[in-house]
Amino acid sequence: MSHAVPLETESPPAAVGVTRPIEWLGLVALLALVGAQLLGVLTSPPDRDMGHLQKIMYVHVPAAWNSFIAFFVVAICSLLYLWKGQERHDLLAASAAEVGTVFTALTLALGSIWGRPTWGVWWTWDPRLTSTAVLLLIFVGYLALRSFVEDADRRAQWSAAVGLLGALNVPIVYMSVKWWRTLHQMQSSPSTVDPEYVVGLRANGIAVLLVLVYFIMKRYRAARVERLAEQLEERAALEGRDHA
Amino acid sequence: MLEGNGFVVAAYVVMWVGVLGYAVRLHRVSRDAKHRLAQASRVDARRHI
Repeated sequence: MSHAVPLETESPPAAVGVTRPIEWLGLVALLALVGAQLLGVLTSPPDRDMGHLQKIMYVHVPAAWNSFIAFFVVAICSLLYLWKGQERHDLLAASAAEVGTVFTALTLALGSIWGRPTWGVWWTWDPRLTSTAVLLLIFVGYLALRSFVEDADRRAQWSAAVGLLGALNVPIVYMSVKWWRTLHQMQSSPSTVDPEYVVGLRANGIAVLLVLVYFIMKRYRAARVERLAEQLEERAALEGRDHA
Repeated sequence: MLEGNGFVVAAYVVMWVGVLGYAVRLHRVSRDAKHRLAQASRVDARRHI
Protein backbone atom coordinates (compact mmCIF):
# COMPACT_ATOMS: atom_id res chain seq x y z
CA MET A 1 0.00 0.00 0.00
CA SER A 2 1.48 3.31 -1.02
CA HIS A 3 0.24 6.64 0.27
CA ALA A 4 2.69 8.72 -1.74
CA VAL A 5 1.17 11.60 -3.66
CA PRO A 6 1.86 11.04 -7.38
CA LEU A 7 4.35 13.63 -8.54
CA GLU A 8 2.33 14.31 -11.66
CA THR A 9 -0.55 15.70 -9.62
CA GLU A 10 1.47 18.17 -7.60
CA SER A 11 3.95 20.58 -9.08
CA PRO A 12 6.50 22.24 -6.79
CA PRO A 13 4.95 25.72 -7.19
CA ALA A 14 1.63 24.38 -5.87
CA ALA A 15 3.32 23.16 -2.71
CA VAL A 16 5.50 26.24 -2.34
CA GLY A 17 2.59 28.66 -2.96
CA VAL A 18 0.40 30.63 -0.53
CA THR A 19 3.52 32.17 0.98
CA ARG A 20 2.15 35.64 1.51
CA PRO A 21 -0.97 34.86 3.62
CA ILE A 22 1.15 32.76 5.98
CA GLU A 23 3.72 35.52 6.37
CA TRP A 24 0.93 38.01 7.05
CA LEU A 25 -0.44 35.66 9.71
CA GLY A 26 3.05 35.54 11.26
CA LEU A 27 3.19 39.33 11.44
CA VAL A 28 -0.32 39.53 12.95
CA ALA A 29 0.60 36.82 15.49
CA LEU A 30 3.78 38.65 16.47
CA LEU A 31 1.95 41.95 16.97
CA ALA A 32 -0.84 40.19 18.88
CA LEU A 33 1.70 38.56 21.20
CA VAL A 34 3.44 41.87 21.92
CA GLY A 35 0.08 43.61 22.49
CA ALA A 36 -1.33 40.85 24.71
CA GLN A 37 1.79 40.71 26.86
CA LEU A 38 1.83 44.48 27.29
CA LEU A 39 -1.86 44.36 28.21
CA GLY A 40 -1.28 41.62 30.77
CA VAL A 41 1.85 43.10 32.31
CA LEU A 42 0.74 46.73 32.42
CA THR A 43 -2.92 46.41 33.42
CA SER A 44 -3.05 43.61 35.99
CA PRO A 45 -2.44 44.46 39.65
CA PRO A 46 0.05 42.44 41.76
CA ASP A 47 -1.45 39.28 43.26
CA ARG A 48 -2.07 39.31 47.04
CA ASP A 49 0.15 36.24 47.62
CA MET A 50 2.50 36.13 44.65
CA GLY A 51 2.93 39.79 43.83
CA HIS A 52 4.24 40.42 40.31
CA LEU A 53 5.11 36.72 39.90
CA GLN A 54 1.46 36.28 38.86
CA LYS A 55 2.42 37.81 35.49
CA ILE A 56 4.27 34.61 34.58
CA MET A 57 0.78 33.13 34.20
CA TYR A 58 0.36 35.08 30.93
CA VAL A 59 3.15 33.11 29.27
CA HIS A 60 3.09 29.78 31.13
CA VAL A 61 -0.64 29.02 30.88
CA PRO A 62 -1.13 29.97 27.18
CA ALA A 63 1.95 27.89 26.27
CA ALA A 64 0.39 24.90 28.08
CA TRP A 65 -3.08 25.38 26.51
CA ASN A 66 -1.63 25.65 23.04
CA SER A 67 0.59 22.60 23.41
CA PHE A 68 -2.63 20.69 24.20
CA ILE A 69 -4.26 22.11 21.06
CA ALA A 70 -1.23 21.06 18.98
CA PHE A 71 -1.42 17.49 20.32
CA PHE A 72 -5.17 17.44 19.67
CA VAL A 73 -4.35 18.24 16.03
CA VAL A 74 -1.78 15.41 16.09
CA ALA A 75 -4.45 12.98 17.37
CA ILE A 76 -7.06 13.99 14.77
CA CYS A 77 -4.59 13.93 11.87
CA SER A 78 -3.09 10.61 12.99
CA LEU A 79 -6.57 9.08 13.11
CA LEU A 80 -7.37 10.51 9.68
CA TYR A 81 -4.12 9.12 8.29
CA LEU A 82 -4.80 5.64 9.66
CA TRP A 83 -8.35 5.83 8.26
CA LYS A 84 -7.80 7.41 4.85
CA GLY A 85 -4.07 7.01 4.25
CA GLN A 86 -3.59 10.50 2.86
CA GLU A 87 -0.10 11.89 3.12
CA ARG A 88 -1.22 15.42 3.99
CA HIS A 89 -2.65 14.17 7.29
CA ASP A 90 0.68 12.60 8.19
CA LEU A 91 2.59 15.78 7.34
CA LEU A 92 0.14 17.96 9.27
CA ALA A 93 0.37 15.64 12.31
CA ALA A 94 4.17 15.80 12.17
CA SER A 95 4.11 19.60 11.89
CA ALA A 96 1.73 19.96 14.85
CA ALA A 97 3.82 17.48 16.88
CA GLU A 98 7.00 19.50 16.37
CA VAL A 99 5.31 22.77 17.35
CA GLY A 100 3.55 21.09 20.30
CA THR A 101 6.90 19.79 21.52
CA VAL A 102 8.36 23.32 21.45
CA PHE A 103 5.39 24.67 23.44
CA THR A 104 5.58 21.82 25.96
CA ALA A 105 9.29 22.50 26.52
CA LEU A 106 8.43 26.19 27.00
CA THR A 107 5.64 25.26 29.44
CA LEU A 108 8.07 23.25 31.56
CA ALA A 109 10.79 25.92 31.46
CA LEU A 110 8.36 28.72 32.36
CA GLY A 111 6.75 26.61 35.08
CA SER A 112 10.17 25.94 36.53
CA ILE A 113 10.94 29.68 36.63
CA TRP A 114 7.58 30.25 38.34
CA GLY A 115 8.09 27.33 40.73
CA ARG A 116 11.47 28.47 42.11
CA PRO A 117 10.23 31.62 43.93
CA THR A 118 6.77 30.22 44.84
CA TRP A 119 7.56 26.61 45.82
CA GLY A 120 11.26 27.07 46.57
CA VAL A 121 12.38 24.47 44.00
CA TRP A 122 13.06 24.49 40.26
CA TRP A 123 11.62 20.99 39.87
CA THR A 124 9.66 18.46 41.90
CA TRP A 125 8.21 15.05 40.97
CA ASP A 126 4.69 16.39 41.19
CA PRO A 127 2.04 14.55 39.10
CA ARG A 128 1.39 17.57 36.84
CA LEU A 129 5.07 18.22 36.22
CA THR A 130 5.92 14.56 35.79
CA SER A 131 3.06 13.83 33.37
CA THR A 132 4.02 16.92 31.33
CA ALA A 133 7.64 15.74 31.21
CA VAL A 134 6.41 12.31 30.02
CA LEU A 135 4.33 14.06 27.32
CA LEU A 136 7.43 15.95 26.18
CA LEU A 137 9.54 12.77 26.08
CA ILE A 138 6.89 10.91 24.06
CA PHE A 139 6.87 13.61 21.38
CA VAL A 140 10.67 13.92 21.36
CA GLY A 141 10.56 10.17 20.66
CA TYR A 142 7.94 10.77 17.93
CA LEU A 143 10.22 13.28 16.19
CA ALA A 144 13.24 10.98 16.58
CA LEU A 145 11.22 8.12 15.05
CA ARG A 146 10.40 10.26 12.02
CA SER A 147 14.04 11.12 11.48
CA PHE A 148 15.18 7.48 11.75
CA VAL A 149 12.65 5.74 9.45
CA GLU A 150 13.39 6.27 5.75
CA ASP A 151 10.40 4.48 4.22
CA ALA A 152 7.68 7.14 3.98
CA ASP A 153 4.69 4.79 4.39
CA ARG A 154 6.15 2.98 7.36
CA ARG A 155 7.24 6.29 8.92
CA ALA A 156 3.72 7.68 8.56
CA GLN A 157 2.02 4.57 10.00
CA TRP A 158 4.35 4.26 13.00
CA SER A 159 4.18 8.01 13.65
CA ALA A 160 0.38 7.93 13.58
CA ALA A 161 0.36 5.15 16.20
CA VAL A 162 2.86 6.94 18.46
CA GLY A 163 1.10 10.29 17.92
CA LEU A 164 -2.23 8.82 19.01
CA LEU A 165 -0.70 7.16 22.09
CA GLY A 166 1.14 10.37 22.98
CA ALA A 167 -1.97 12.51 22.62
CA LEU A 168 -3.81 10.15 25.00
CA ASN A 169 -1.48 11.51 27.68
CA VAL A 170 -2.94 15.03 27.30
CA PRO A 171 -6.14 14.36 29.34
CA ILE A 172 -3.97 12.75 32.02
CA VAL A 173 -1.80 15.89 32.20
CA TYR A 174 -4.91 18.10 32.31
CA MET A 175 -6.71 16.09 35.00
CA SER A 176 -3.60 15.27 37.08
CA VAL A 177 -4.24 18.22 39.42
CA LYS A 178 -7.69 16.81 40.21
CA TRP A 179 -6.87 13.10 40.29
CA TRP A 180 -3.82 13.27 42.58
CA ARG A 181 -2.65 15.36 45.51
CA THR A 182 -0.35 17.84 43.91
CA LEU A 183 1.72 20.92 44.65
CA HIS A 184 0.55 22.46 41.38
CA GLN A 185 -2.50 24.69 41.61
CA MET A 186 -5.79 23.80 39.87
CA GLN A 187 -6.06 24.47 36.15
CA SER A 188 -5.82 28.21 35.45
CA SER A 189 -8.65 29.30 33.18
CA PRO A 190 -10.85 32.41 32.88
CA SER A 191 -13.33 30.69 35.21
CA THR A 192 -10.79 29.95 37.96
CA VAL A 193 -8.61 33.08 38.06
CA ASP A 194 -9.42 36.44 39.62
CA PRO A 195 -11.64 38.56 37.29
CA GLU A 196 -8.87 41.19 37.10
CA TYR A 197 -6.65 38.72 35.26
CA VAL A 198 -9.23 37.26 32.84
CA VAL A 199 -8.79 39.74 29.97
CA GLY A 200 -4.99 39.43 30.02
CA LEU A 201 -5.16 35.65 30.16
CA ARG A 202 -7.67 35.44 27.29
CA ALA A 203 -5.70 37.91 25.15
CA ASN A 204 -2.46 35.98 25.67
CA GLY A 205 -4.20 32.67 25.00
CA ILE A 206 -5.49 33.98 21.65
CA ALA A 207 -2.14 35.57 20.73
CA VAL A 208 -0.23 32.35 21.41
CA LEU A 209 -2.91 30.46 19.45
CA LEU A 210 -2.18 32.70 16.43
CA VAL A 211 1.54 31.96 16.85
CA LEU A 212 0.76 28.24 17.06
CA VAL A 213 -1.34 28.29 13.86
CA TYR A 214 1.37 30.26 12.04
CA PHE A 215 4.09 27.83 13.15
CA ILE A 216 2.06 24.75 12.17
CA MET A 217 1.15 26.18 8.75
CA LYS A 218 4.73 27.20 8.01
CA ARG A 219 6.13 23.83 9.15
CA TYR A 220 3.48 21.99 7.12
CA ARG A 221 4.38 23.92 3.99
CA ALA A 222 8.08 23.11 4.49
CA ALA A 223 7.19 19.46 5.15
CA ARG A 224 5.33 19.23 1.82
CA VAL A 225 8.28 20.70 -0.03
CA GLU A 226 10.63 18.27 1.77
CA ARG A 227 8.36 15.36 0.82
CA LEU A 228 8.26 16.41 -2.84
CA ALA A 229 12.05 16.60 -2.91
CA GLU A 230 12.23 13.19 -1.22
CA GLN A 231 9.92 11.71 -3.88
CA LEU A 232 12.02 13.15 -6.71
CA GLU A 233 15.19 11.79 -5.10
CA GLU A 234 13.57 8.36 -4.66
CA ARG A 235 12.47 8.36 -8.30
CA ALA A 236 15.96 9.35 -9.46
CA ALA A 237 17.50 6.61 -7.32
CA LEU A 238 15.07 4.00 -8.69
CA GLU A 239 15.66 5.04 -12.30
CA GLY A 240 19.42 5.03 -11.72
CA ARG A 241 19.17 1.48 -10.35
CA ASP A 242 17.06 0.37 -13.35
CA HIS A 243 19.59 1.81 -15.82
CA ALA A 244 22.53 0.21 -14.02
CA MET B 1 4.32 39.04 49.31
CA LEU B 2 7.09 37.42 47.33
CA GLU B 3 9.42 39.69 45.41
CA GLY B 4 10.31 38.21 42.07
CA ASN B 5 10.65 40.74 39.29
CA GLY B 6 13.81 39.00 38.09
CA PHE B 7 11.87 35.75 37.66
CA VAL B 8 9.14 37.56 35.72
CA VAL B 9 11.70 39.11 33.37
CA ALA B 10 13.42 35.72 33.00
CA ALA B 11 10.10 34.05 32.09
CA TYR B 12 9.31 36.60 29.36
CA VAL B 13 12.87 36.36 28.01
CA VAL B 14 12.59 32.55 27.86
CA MET B 15 9.22 32.84 26.08
CA TRP B 16 10.62 35.19 23.44
CA VAL B 17 13.83 33.20 22.99
CA GLY B 18 11.67 30.10 22.44
CA VAL B 19 9.26 31.74 20.00
CA LEU B 20 11.86 33.67 18.00
CA GLY B 21 14.34 30.78 18.11
CA TYR B 22 11.77 28.41 16.65
CA ALA B 23 10.75 31.02 14.04
CA VAL B 24 14.39 31.24 12.90
CA ARG B 25 14.63 27.45 12.78
CA LEU B 26 11.44 27.30 10.69
CA HIS B 27 12.87 29.88 8.29
CA ARG B 28 16.02 27.75 7.85
CA VAL B 29 14.02 24.52 7.43
CA SER B 30 11.85 26.17 4.73
CA ARG B 31 14.89 27.58 2.92
CA ASP B 32 16.73 24.23 3.01
CA ALA B 33 13.62 22.38 1.79
CA LYS B 34 13.29 24.74 -1.18
CA HIS B 35 16.97 24.31 -2.07
CA ARG B 36 16.64 20.53 -1.81
CA LEU B 37 13.56 20.56 -4.03
CA ALA B 38 15.22 22.81 -6.60
CA GLN B 39 18.24 20.53 -6.74
CA ALA B 40 16.11 17.38 -7.02
CA SER B 41 14.02 19.05 -9.75
CA ARG B 42 17.15 19.94 -11.73
CA VAL B 43 18.42 16.35 -11.51
CA ASP B 44 14.97 15.06 -12.52
CA ALA B 45 14.75 17.48 -15.45
CA ARG B 46 18.18 16.44 -16.75
CA ARG B 47 17.13 12.78 -16.64
CA HIS B 48 14.03 13.44 -18.72
CA ILE B 49 15.53 15.65 -21.45
